[in-house]
Amino acid sequence: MNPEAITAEQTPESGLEARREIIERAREERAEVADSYVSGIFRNLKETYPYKIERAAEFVRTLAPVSDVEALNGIAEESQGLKKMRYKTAAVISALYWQFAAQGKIGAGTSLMTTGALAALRIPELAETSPKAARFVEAASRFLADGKEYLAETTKALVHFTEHNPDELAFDEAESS
Amino acid sequence: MPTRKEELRDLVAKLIPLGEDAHELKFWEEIFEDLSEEDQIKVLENLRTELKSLEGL
Repeated sequence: MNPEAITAEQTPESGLEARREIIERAREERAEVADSYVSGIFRNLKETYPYKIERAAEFVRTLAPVSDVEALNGIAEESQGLKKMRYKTAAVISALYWQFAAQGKIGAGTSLMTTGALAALRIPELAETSPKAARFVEAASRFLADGKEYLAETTKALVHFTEHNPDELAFDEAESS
Repeated sequence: MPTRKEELRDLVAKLIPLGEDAHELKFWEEIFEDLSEEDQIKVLENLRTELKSLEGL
Protein backbone atom coordinates (compact mmCIF):
# COMPACT_ATOMS: atom_id res chain seq x y z
CA MET A 1 0.00 0.00 0.00
CA ASN A 2 1.30 3.40 -0.90
CA PRO A 3 1.92 5.44 2.32
CA GLU A 4 1.37 8.69 0.44
CA ALA A 5 -2.10 7.55 -0.60
CA ILE A 6 -2.97 6.93 3.06
CA THR A 7 -1.81 10.42 3.99
CA ALA A 8 -3.82 11.91 1.16
CA GLU A 9 -6.93 10.04 2.31
CA GLN A 10 -6.51 11.19 5.90
CA THR A 11 -5.81 14.83 5.10
CA PRO A 12 -9.41 16.07 4.76
CA GLU A 13 -10.39 14.59 8.11
CA SER A 14 -7.32 15.85 9.97
CA GLY A 15 -7.77 19.20 8.24
CA LEU A 16 -11.32 19.45 9.56
CA GLU A 17 -10.15 18.55 13.04
CA ALA A 18 -7.42 21.19 12.89
CA ARG A 19 -9.99 23.76 11.71
CA ARG A 20 -12.34 22.87 14.57
CA GLU A 21 -9.49 23.20 17.08
CA ILE A 22 -8.47 26.63 15.79
CA ILE A 23 -12.05 27.91 15.85
CA GLU A 24 -12.72 26.53 19.31
CA ARG A 25 -9.49 27.99 20.70
CA ALA A 26 -10.34 31.39 19.25
CA ARG A 27 -13.83 31.25 20.79
CA GLU A 28 -12.35 30.33 24.17
CA GLU A 29 -10.16 33.42 23.99
CA ARG A 30 -13.08 35.63 22.98
CA ALA A 31 -14.98 34.27 25.97
CA GLU A 32 -12.79 36.39 28.24
CA VAL A 33 -13.97 39.55 26.49
CA ALA A 34 -17.56 38.31 26.44
CA ASP A 35 -17.35 37.58 30.15
CA SER A 36 -16.10 41.04 30.96
CA TYR A 37 -18.68 42.74 28.72
CA VAL A 38 -21.75 40.76 29.78
CA SER A 39 -20.72 40.73 33.44
CA GLY A 40 -20.54 44.51 33.41
CA ILE A 41 -24.10 44.78 32.14
CA PHE A 42 -25.45 42.25 34.63
CA ARG A 43 -23.57 43.75 37.56
CA ASN A 44 -25.63 46.86 37.01
CA LEU A 45 -28.79 44.83 36.92
CA LYS A 46 -27.94 42.89 40.06
CA GLU A 47 -27.59 46.15 41.95
CA THR A 48 -30.82 47.55 40.53
CA TYR A 49 -32.97 44.43 40.67
CA PRO A 50 -31.58 42.09 43.33
CA TYR A 51 -33.00 38.58 43.36
CA LYS A 52 -32.71 35.64 45.65
CA ILE A 53 -30.24 33.08 44.47
CA GLU A 54 -31.96 30.17 46.20
CA ARG A 55 -34.93 30.67 43.90
CA ALA A 56 -32.58 30.25 41.00
CA ALA A 57 -31.18 27.06 42.49
CA GLU A 58 -34.70 25.75 42.95
CA PHE A 59 -35.54 26.55 39.37
CA VAL A 60 -32.53 24.60 38.07
CA ARG A 61 -34.59 21.47 38.67
CA THR A 62 -37.27 22.80 36.35
CA LEU A 63 -34.75 23.77 33.72
CA ALA A 64 -32.81 20.49 33.82
CA PRO A 65 -35.26 18.37 31.77
CA VAL A 66 -35.32 20.90 28.96
CA SER A 67 -33.60 19.37 25.99
CA ASP A 68 -34.47 21.58 23.07
CA VAL A 69 -34.92 25.19 22.24
CA GLU A 70 -38.68 24.94 21.70
CA ALA A 71 -39.14 23.66 25.23
CA LEU A 72 -37.00 26.44 26.62
CA ASN A 73 -38.96 29.00 24.64
CA GLY A 74 -42.12 27.46 26.07
CA ILE A 75 -40.89 28.07 29.58
CA ALA A 76 -39.90 31.57 28.64
CA GLU A 77 -43.31 32.33 27.15
CA GLU A 78 -45.12 30.84 30.11
CA SER A 79 -42.95 32.82 32.48
CA GLN A 80 -43.84 36.10 30.78
CA GLY A 81 -47.28 35.97 32.31
CA LEU A 82 -46.05 35.22 35.80
CA LYS A 83 -43.85 37.86 37.22
CA LYS A 84 -42.30 35.63 39.87
CA MET A 85 -41.64 32.85 37.42
CA ARG A 86 -40.19 35.29 34.95
CA TYR A 87 -37.73 36.49 37.54
CA LYS A 88 -36.92 32.93 38.51
CA THR A 89 -36.21 32.06 34.90
CA ALA A 90 -34.01 35.08 34.52
CA ALA A 91 -32.37 34.43 37.84
CA VAL A 92 -31.45 30.86 37.11
CA ILE A 93 -30.02 31.63 33.71
CA SER A 94 -28.08 34.54 35.14
CA ALA A 95 -26.94 32.39 38.05
CA LEU A 96 -25.85 29.62 35.70
CA TYR A 97 -24.04 32.18 33.63
CA TRP A 98 -22.17 33.45 36.68
CA GLN A 99 -21.36 29.92 37.83
CA PHE A 100 -20.17 28.74 34.45
CA ALA A 101 -18.17 31.87 33.79
CA ALA A 102 -16.53 31.68 37.22
CA GLN A 103 -15.79 27.96 36.96
CA GLY A 104 -14.89 27.94 33.29
CA LYS A 105 -17.38 25.15 32.64
CA ILE A 106 -18.60 26.80 29.47
CA GLY A 107 -15.61 28.38 27.90
CA ALA A 108 -16.74 29.24 24.41
CA GLY A 109 -17.54 32.85 23.66
CA THR A 110 -20.67 31.72 21.90
CA SER A 111 -22.00 29.97 24.96
CA LEU A 112 -21.33 32.92 27.20
CA MET A 113 -22.89 35.34 24.78
CA THR A 114 -25.89 33.14 24.23
CA THR A 115 -26.49 32.62 27.91
CA GLY A 116 -26.05 36.30 28.63
CA ALA A 117 -28.34 37.23 25.76
CA LEU A 118 -30.99 34.80 26.87
CA ALA A 119 -30.88 36.11 30.40
CA ALA A 120 -31.08 39.67 29.09
CA LEU A 121 -34.27 38.98 27.18
CA ARG A 122 -35.94 37.50 30.22
CA ILE A 123 -35.48 40.71 32.16
CA PRO A 124 -37.21 43.56 30.33
CA GLU A 125 -35.97 46.10 32.88
CA LEU A 126 -32.38 45.41 31.88
CA ALA A 127 -32.70 47.68 28.86
CA GLU A 128 -33.60 50.55 31.16
CA THR A 129 -30.46 50.33 33.28
CA SER A 130 -28.20 52.02 30.72
CA PRO A 131 -27.97 52.84 27.00
CA LYS A 132 -25.27 50.19 26.68
CA ALA A 133 -27.59 47.60 28.24
CA ALA A 134 -30.37 48.71 25.90
CA ARG A 135 -28.15 48.15 22.87
CA PHE A 136 -27.10 44.77 24.26
CA VAL A 137 -30.72 43.70 24.67
CA GLU A 138 -31.46 44.79 21.11
CA ALA A 139 -28.45 42.90 19.76
CA ALA A 140 -29.31 39.89 21.93
CA SER A 141 -32.81 39.85 20.53
CA ARG A 142 -31.54 39.72 16.96
CA PHE A 143 -28.86 37.19 17.90
CA LEU A 144 -31.35 34.81 19.45
CA ALA A 145 -33.80 35.21 16.59
CA ASP A 146 -31.09 34.44 14.05
CA GLY A 147 -29.15 31.88 16.05
CA LYS A 148 -31.72 29.29 17.02
CA GLU A 149 -29.36 26.41 16.36
CA TYR A 150 -26.71 27.88 18.61
CA LEU A 151 -29.26 28.50 21.29
CA ALA A 152 -30.36 24.89 21.08
CA GLU A 153 -26.78 23.69 21.36
CA THR A 154 -26.06 25.96 24.30
CA THR A 155 -29.23 24.85 26.04
CA LYS A 156 -28.17 21.24 25.62
CA ALA A 157 -24.78 22.08 27.12
CA LEU A 158 -26.43 23.75 30.11
CA VAL A 159 -28.78 20.82 30.61
CA HIS A 160 -25.93 18.33 30.31
CA PHE A 161 -23.97 20.26 32.90
CA THR A 162 -26.87 20.52 35.35
CA GLU A 163 -27.55 16.79 34.99
CA HIS A 164 -23.96 15.70 35.44
CA ASN A 165 -22.66 18.21 37.95
CA PRO A 166 -25.46 18.74 40.47
CA ASP A 167 -23.03 19.29 43.34
CA GLU A 168 -21.38 22.18 41.56
CA LEU A 169 -24.70 23.97 41.34
CA ALA A 170 -24.85 24.33 45.12
CA PHE A 171 -25.16 28.06 45.57
CA ASP A 172 -23.35 29.92 48.28
CA GLU A 173 -25.74 30.21 51.22
CA ALA A 174 -24.33 33.53 52.29
CA GLU A 175 -25.12 34.87 48.85
CA SER A 176 -28.69 33.60 48.96
CA SER A 177 -29.69 35.32 52.18
CA MET B 1 -6.23 53.21 7.22
CA PRO B 2 -9.43 51.33 8.06
CA THR B 3 -11.19 51.99 11.35
CA ARG B 4 -11.40 49.19 13.90
CA LYS B 5 -15.02 48.56 12.98
CA GLU B 6 -14.13 48.34 9.30
CA GLU B 7 -11.34 45.90 10.07
CA LEU B 8 -13.73 43.84 12.15
CA ARG B 9 -16.23 43.66 9.27
CA ASP B 10 -13.45 42.60 6.91
CA LEU B 11 -12.24 39.87 9.28
CA VAL B 12 -15.78 38.60 9.83
CA ALA B 13 -16.40 38.45 6.08
CA LYS B 14 -13.26 36.37 5.63
CA LEU B 15 -13.79 34.06 8.62
CA ILE B 16 -17.33 32.94 7.85
CA PRO B 17 -16.43 31.07 4.63
CA LEU B 18 -13.63 29.38 6.59
CA GLY B 19 -16.08 27.82 9.04
CA GLU B 20 -16.71 30.44 11.71
CA ASP B 21 -20.25 30.99 12.83
CA ALA B 22 -22.02 33.91 11.21
CA HIS B 23 -24.44 34.41 14.11
CA GLU B 24 -21.73 34.73 16.73
CA LEU B 25 -19.56 37.03 14.65
CA LYS B 26 -22.53 39.20 13.73
CA PHE B 27 -23.23 39.57 17.43
CA TRP B 28 -19.66 40.74 18.00
CA GLU B 29 -20.14 43.26 15.21
CA GLU B 30 -23.30 44.58 16.86
CA ILE B 31 -21.75 45.07 20.30
CA PHE B 32 -18.29 46.07 19.09
CA GLU B 33 -18.73 49.79 19.62
CA ASP B 34 -19.87 49.21 23.21
CA LEU B 35 -16.69 47.34 24.08
CA SER B 36 -13.85 49.17 25.78
CA GLU B 37 -10.92 50.16 23.57
CA GLU B 38 -8.84 47.45 25.22
CA ASP B 39 -11.49 44.79 24.52
CA GLN B 40 -11.93 45.97 20.92
CA ILE B 41 -8.20 45.46 20.39
CA LYS B 42 -8.35 42.02 22.03
CA VAL B 43 -11.21 40.92 19.77
CA LEU B 44 -9.45 42.16 16.65
CA GLU B 45 -6.21 40.41 17.62
CA ASN B 46 -8.15 37.24 18.33
CA LEU B 47 -9.87 37.31 14.93
CA ARG B 48 -6.67 38.22 13.07
CA THR B 49 -4.87 35.26 14.65
CA GLU B 50 -7.76 32.92 13.93
CA LEU B 51 -7.89 34.02 10.29
CA LYS B 52 -4.15 33.59 9.88
CA SER B 53 -4.30 30.08 11.38
CA LEU B 54 -7.26 29.01 9.25
CA GLU B 55 -5.75 30.41 6.08
CA GLY B 56 -2.53 28.56 6.87
CA LEU B 57 -4.19 25.13 6.88
